[in-house]
Amino acid sequence: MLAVTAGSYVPLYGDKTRPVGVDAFYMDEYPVTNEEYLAFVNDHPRWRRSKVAPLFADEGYLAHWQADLVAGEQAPEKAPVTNVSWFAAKAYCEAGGKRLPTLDEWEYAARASEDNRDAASRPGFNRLILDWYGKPTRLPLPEVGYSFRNAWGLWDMHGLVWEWVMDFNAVVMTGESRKDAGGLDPQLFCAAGALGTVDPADYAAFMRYAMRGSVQARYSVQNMGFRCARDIEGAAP
Amino acid sequence: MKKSLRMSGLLVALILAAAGCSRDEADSGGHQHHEHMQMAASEAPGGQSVYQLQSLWNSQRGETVRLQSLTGKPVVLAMVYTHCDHACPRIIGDMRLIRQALDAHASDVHFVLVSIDPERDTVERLQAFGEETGLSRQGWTLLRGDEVDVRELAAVFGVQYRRTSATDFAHSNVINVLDRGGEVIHQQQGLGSRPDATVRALKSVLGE
Repeated sequence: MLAVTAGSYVPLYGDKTRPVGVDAFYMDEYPVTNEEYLAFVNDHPRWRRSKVAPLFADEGYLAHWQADLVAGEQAPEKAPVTNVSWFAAKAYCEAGGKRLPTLDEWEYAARASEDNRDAASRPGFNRLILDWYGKPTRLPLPEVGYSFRNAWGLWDMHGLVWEWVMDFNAVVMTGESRKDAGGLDPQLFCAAGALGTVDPADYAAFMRYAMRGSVQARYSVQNMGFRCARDIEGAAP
Repeated sequence: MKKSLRMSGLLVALILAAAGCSRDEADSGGHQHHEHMQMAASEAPGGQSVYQLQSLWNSQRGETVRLQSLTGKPVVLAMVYTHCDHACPRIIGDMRLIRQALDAHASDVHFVLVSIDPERDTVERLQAFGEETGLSRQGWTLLRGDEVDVRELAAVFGVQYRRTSATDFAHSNVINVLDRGGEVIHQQQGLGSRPDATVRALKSVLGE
């Protein structure tokens, strides 16, 4: 894992005069791979495809794997694991004494370009991210270490898969039921409606918030994976 | 008197279920509580049951419980915070309406509030809140837990929430109905909704 030092940022929803502080934390260098996830389900049978409880994962869970304990051709060993629910991602991290990163941690770490820890307001950087959002996912997914290594040393924060965060359900929506995943917060719709005038940095973040707001914790998505994080001992909680 | 006895029996059940004690040790609260313990102890939660969650919660009465200890009765549950001035009192008001509509069956249903603000909603705070509002007297259960576990429970119910300032949260207004085994069978959306559909869902579980 790599250390990300403390800092602050203004989240999409935020008030520009009041940046949100982020304590230092450790984060996985790469998204979790099929090979790593296979080792986890080997050790934890309740997370195998045939055993997982429907409360914790929908029917798409690991659907592209060949079998319970065989990732197979559609899920290369070193490619990021996808089709995993939030519950499964959380369980994986906890089994390794880690946790999912918070939304703030993830967004903060994702602001880094190859050479700048805070490139979020650089049009070129955001153009790159938006280009990726505009492209269909290449399947099977390529191996991790695919897009770029950012200034924190983290690979593939953009350009490979979407990633679960601990508080993905912190995007308050209007149709808030697990039966009704639609209906994003009108605030978000406004941001989308004003696309022409919005800072491209905000629009890239908007896409991520919209993605998080559109999923439920049991969903399995073919281009959504995760990586884990951990507190740094001695850092403020 | 009868009501308070029944409640204290439930609490014993909650405590012992959490502590993993045997049924015999719990068998001091009368026949009904005996039944309750049996169900809680012997039935593994189903694949859709919220009671698969292993998280531990503190109640306003100072017990540490698993949600599974609610097994046996249907549950009406909402996620709120006690410092909330606007939506939460209305959610609780809507739950009171549901309880009133249940009439004589009110005591056959668990009414549960889970805090999304565990930092400020300490056991002491929940205890004071339960007393001020009269909820504790009616047998409601007020729970607080670790932040990650609150997040997980919210994920199960599809509840969204986020801190919007040092003192406030934006959150979904959802009242969840669980059957005797902890499966979500109904969700009442929004504030001030008529409780009819929710009451019907509860009565169908109660065999009305």
